[in-house]
Amino acid sequence: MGIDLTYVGNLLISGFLLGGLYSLITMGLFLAWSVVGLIYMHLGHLMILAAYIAFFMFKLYGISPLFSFFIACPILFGISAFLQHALIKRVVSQSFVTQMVLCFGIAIILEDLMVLLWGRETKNIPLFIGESFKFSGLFVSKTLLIVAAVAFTTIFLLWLLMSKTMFGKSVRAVADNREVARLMGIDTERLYLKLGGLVGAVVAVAGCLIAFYPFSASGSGTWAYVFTSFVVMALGGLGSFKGVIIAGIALGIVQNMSILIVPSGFGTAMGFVLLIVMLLIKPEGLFGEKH
Amino acid sequence: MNFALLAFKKRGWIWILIALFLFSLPLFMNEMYLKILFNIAVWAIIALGFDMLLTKCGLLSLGHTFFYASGAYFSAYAQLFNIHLIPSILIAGLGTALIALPLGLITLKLRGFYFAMATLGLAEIAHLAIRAFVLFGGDVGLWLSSDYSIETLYIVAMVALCVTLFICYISENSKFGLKIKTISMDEEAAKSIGLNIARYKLYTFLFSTFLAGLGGGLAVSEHTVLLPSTFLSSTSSFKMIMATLIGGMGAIPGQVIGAAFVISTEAIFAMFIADVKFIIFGLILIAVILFFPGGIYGGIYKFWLLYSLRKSKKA
Repeated sequence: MGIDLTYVGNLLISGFLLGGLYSLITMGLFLAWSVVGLIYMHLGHLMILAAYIAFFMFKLYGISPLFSFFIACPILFGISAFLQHALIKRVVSQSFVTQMVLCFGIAIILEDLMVLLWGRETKNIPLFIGESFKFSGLFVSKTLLIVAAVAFTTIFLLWLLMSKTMFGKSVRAVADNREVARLMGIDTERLYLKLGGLVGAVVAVAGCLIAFYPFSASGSGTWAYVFTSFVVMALGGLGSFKGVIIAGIALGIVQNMSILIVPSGFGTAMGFVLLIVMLLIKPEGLFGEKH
Repeated sequence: MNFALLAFKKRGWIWILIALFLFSLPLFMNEMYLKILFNIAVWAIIALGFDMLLTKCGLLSLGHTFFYASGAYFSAYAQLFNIHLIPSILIAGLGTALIALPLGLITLKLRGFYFAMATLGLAEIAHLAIRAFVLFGGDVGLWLSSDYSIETLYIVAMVALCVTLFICYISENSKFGLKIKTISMDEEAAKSIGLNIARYKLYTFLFSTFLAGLGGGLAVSEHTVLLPSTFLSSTSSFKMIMATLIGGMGAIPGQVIGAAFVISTEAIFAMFIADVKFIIFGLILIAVILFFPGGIYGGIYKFWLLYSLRKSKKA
């Protein structure tokens, strides 16, 4: 028996689209890492918060998640900028244990707050379920197509912001060398604050998209997202914009194709395997620079 | 930081009295309080292992709950096969170290953020795997039929804690301990004087996971129900981090103090604000790492230094 080619094609396409979502999820972590230099582990929980906002917008007012961006983004921008200003600013120059434990602590607080407010049940937005587009034998789920379209658009806008505006230029300058950037007259404190907010807004978009799939504040799902985005970032080479997109798509495809050999639901495990193999063969990542 | 050993040499009888007092507690103590003391002993053992990995190797394991849970599963299966308590918890520790061996060989090549995230991922994958396989009881968990009295468990846990503390103090000044200390201070320098860093890191990792497994085995004997959601949750990783950082990183007595703090505040919270427990814990932890990086033991130590300095000035 041979493997059905259309089946493999379906997996490939949906893997590619899923990869778009992974790249978007990683963007927040990536921006924070390349500029501030620490892993924002609480971003996963901020994302779930945005998903809850989208869910309640849909449930209470019937607003489609594609429009709840306009509500979720400002809220998350505010929360994330506040966290940056109140807490993370203080540990930027401290040891990595302090940084990680601080972010882990914020994540745990957010998790318990959300469980307290909205319970442990998984929720999702019941929209477009079972609907799909068909192109010459290949089926693509409508949800996934919308999600990927939004994700790629957001990444494109982010790229425009980073490459064409003054803000993007100063962000890249600080990412390159903090001290020299400060000497050139960039107010790094202010930039960190803005960047903290921006990261929150990016994560909010990802969160609204996540709301199409079952999500819950408690349990392992949220940490799996955080871990996956770290894997994407490490695969792409820490600090490479192009790397994040390509690694995200690669991970999406690998996870989808792995259904052929391992039981489904082990996508995270495939990420782990990919991370370990990558670090053993080419520790600097796909597009990273050797140190 | 080894002033407790000095104090022991000076006033050994005080420590012996304390030990006698602790071991005689089951004779007259309420079951509820014994349970809390048992939990303190268990978490002190785990925190000692966690702190060893953190300070001696500089590796922050965010998925240490994986080893805690694996010890719990080993112990639960041993007890389901009618193995007695003490061998079963030893099986838990050794089995966990055996699982940790291949994982250590792979993950110890990583450093800093990479190691922390890899262990986090490991715990999540284990969570998925355990829920997927019926063999591990799935979401329903494993239910133990063995029923040990809290007095027995308390004595076993106390003995385990005493042995662990003894080993930690002895190894601090042994040849092995000094080598590890060298590595923790400067890896490059340690490499240049010919120390095999990878091997010593692996030994420390194995000992740390052994202690986590031991703690898991003890804890499951008391719970008698093994649920993946309680043993493999990120909150139990968080409890280890809390015990170590609040007690005082890098200090052996600090781990016991930290475990005592975490478990007793948890018991107090359980009475009236169980739901928001981790919100308050998180706030405490953030306050500690921002304003008191030495933890409780660091504070006591500083105070003791100032006090003895003033005394010596007067003399």
